[in-house]
Amino acid sequence: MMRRFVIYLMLVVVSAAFLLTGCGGKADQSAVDDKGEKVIKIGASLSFTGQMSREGTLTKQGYDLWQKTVNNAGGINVNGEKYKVEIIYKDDQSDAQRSAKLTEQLITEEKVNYLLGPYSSGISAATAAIAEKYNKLTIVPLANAPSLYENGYKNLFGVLPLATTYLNGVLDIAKTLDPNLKKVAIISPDALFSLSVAEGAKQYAETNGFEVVYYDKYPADAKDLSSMITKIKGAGAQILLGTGYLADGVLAVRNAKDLGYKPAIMAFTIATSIPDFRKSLGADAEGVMGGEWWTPNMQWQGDIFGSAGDYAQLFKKEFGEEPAYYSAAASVTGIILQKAIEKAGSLEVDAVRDTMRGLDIQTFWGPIRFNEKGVNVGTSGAAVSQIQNGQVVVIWPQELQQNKPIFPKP
Amino acid sequence: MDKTVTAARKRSPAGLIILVLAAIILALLPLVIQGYWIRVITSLFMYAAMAEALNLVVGYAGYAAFGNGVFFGIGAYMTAILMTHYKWGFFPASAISGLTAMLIAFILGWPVLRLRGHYFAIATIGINMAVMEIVTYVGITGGGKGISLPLYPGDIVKQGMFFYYSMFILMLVSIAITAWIVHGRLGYGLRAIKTQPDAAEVMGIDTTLYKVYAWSISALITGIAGSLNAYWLTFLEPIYVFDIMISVEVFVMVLLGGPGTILGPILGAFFLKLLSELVWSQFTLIHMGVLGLIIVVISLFLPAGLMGLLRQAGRWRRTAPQSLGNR
Repeated sequence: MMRRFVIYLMLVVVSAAFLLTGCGGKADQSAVDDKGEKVIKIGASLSFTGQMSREGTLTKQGYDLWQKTVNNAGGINVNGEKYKVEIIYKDDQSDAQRSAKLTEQLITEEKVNYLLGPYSSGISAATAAIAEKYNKLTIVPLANAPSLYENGYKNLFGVLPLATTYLNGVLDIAKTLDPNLKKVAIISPDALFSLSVAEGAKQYAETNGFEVVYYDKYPADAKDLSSMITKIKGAGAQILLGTGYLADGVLAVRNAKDLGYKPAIMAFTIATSIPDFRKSLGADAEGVMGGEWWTPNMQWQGDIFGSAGDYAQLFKKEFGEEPAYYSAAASVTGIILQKAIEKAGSLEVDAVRDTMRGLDIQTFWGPIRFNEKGVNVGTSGAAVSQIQNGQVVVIWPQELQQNKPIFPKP
Repeated sequence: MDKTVTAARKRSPAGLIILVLAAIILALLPLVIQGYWIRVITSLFMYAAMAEALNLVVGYAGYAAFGNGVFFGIGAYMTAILMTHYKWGFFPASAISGLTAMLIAFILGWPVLRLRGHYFAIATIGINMAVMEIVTYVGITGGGKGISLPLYPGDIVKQGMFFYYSMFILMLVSIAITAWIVHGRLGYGLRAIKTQPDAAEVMGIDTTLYKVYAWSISALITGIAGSLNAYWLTFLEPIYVFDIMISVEVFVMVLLGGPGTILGPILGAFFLKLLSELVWSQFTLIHMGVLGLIIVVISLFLPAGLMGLLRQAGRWRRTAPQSLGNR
């Protein structure tokens, strides 16, 4: 009896000791690496596995490219001293709970002062709450649900314009194409990002003289939209706006074709920018419009990567494929942090944050300027692209136009 | 069955001392650790409490409640709604959330717990899915857009302590409730139902009522865990809190630790969560595979769970000196 008790006791003590040793702190955030160079550690909790793994990987490529470019140029210049960038990645498995844990690990164990954000707005909401408590800076490249910026967090900054503005450009161009286009239908899968876009588009349409004849959401994993399309056809909508992901866009186009519904304009949020959309629809994709946060042929210019085209070239050399806007947004996130640190001449969170508030820079992504909520208002919203002869071309705004729009949709 | 009961009885003084000792260590741990590790251990407590709650249904009543995570989600959403829309404080919101989960289990239990075996398991998964759809559809929950809870007032240290001790207490309560049930009439009734449901019925046990009690208590604990988690994480989306993986993970913890034992699920939760924490930090990209492998190995070689292994070790030690003496 006694012996067993002693063994149990030892077990408990050993496990407690094991726990404690695992809990020791680590080096300072601006540590010195093996080569004697000064290093700024930056934390990034992304989804490398799980349902958002693709977006997570694209985001990481963007961060990596920025890191490489900065370090090749000597590093970030803080009051004449050069600091190399070291990004510490963690895999959150597309799970908010995990991401929260990893963010706290990055802050308390790795002692990072700066966090480059996760992809999704939902996960960002969880991590931003923690960073706020620790007074660490979070810059998110892609999370742009308006609710994320309504919490009054002072340490959160976002690169993308709000999701609500995503399809506004489509309505703008519709006005110029034909003043008789009045009836709009908006459909959205039931998810944070999509609903935000749909609500924004509805409001924008109503304030701009359009009539929203149909507005509804459907389950995020719907396999058939024909009943919705039938109603939309019945309502006589001339413009169909869909705010889903790739699969939603494909589904809507197919169902519309099957039911003989031919709106003058058909536009989707994400579909056009992903090559699979054109591949799976072939000729039916012709004339479909899409919101476009960034494309390599936009006429923006910055000092670190050069023009948008230069960035695309560099990216292709590095990863062997065209950059998606995810990666570009991630790279520009790094640039923002770099510029803010250099301008502040300090690594202190408070100094860098206050500098970010007043930041006004030109980059290959476009101008960057934050409003009081931390949203980038450098550009007014998304551009509009259209699939023409199997290629994606920018048709709106006027100053970025590459080709005349095809109208109405064939 | 008798053997394990007497074995448990025999061990109880030493077991109790260890339990108290472990509890004291865990209670004092926040003095030496901080930040990340506070969060890790807080989540250990949360999962341990949920595993213990599931154990009542799976381990004692022998019903594979595969979708028990539904009460986690219900607790989370109830708290979120009460705190954001009705501006309730956390504690009343949490209490109502736990009671709501309990009430739902109580009502659903009557039809569902009449099902046996796989049918019950599938029905619980169905309930999980159905409730997720309802929560997504109803406007007050924020639907697919999710819902943000107010931040815990006070600095990060206070916040860490609050959730650490809340989850800790929840875990202790779940252990106490289980111990109380096991040694009471309900516990004997549940074990009778598990081994011989028909005989138990003949002997005058209201089998459905007993099972409904067990499931309701299980739901209460799980619901409060969900409620605490919601306030801790500050943001909810249906796909996160009703994720079937939560149910699966907790289920694995129960099996791993040893179903039908008081401390088994706690041990299982600690073991699996700490293991995955270590595995995750080592193998960022292949952790799922490694974790799966570990689970397979454990279930092949440890069918009775960690508690079974401990018991086995105890038996070996007891028999070994005797056989020497006989010689």
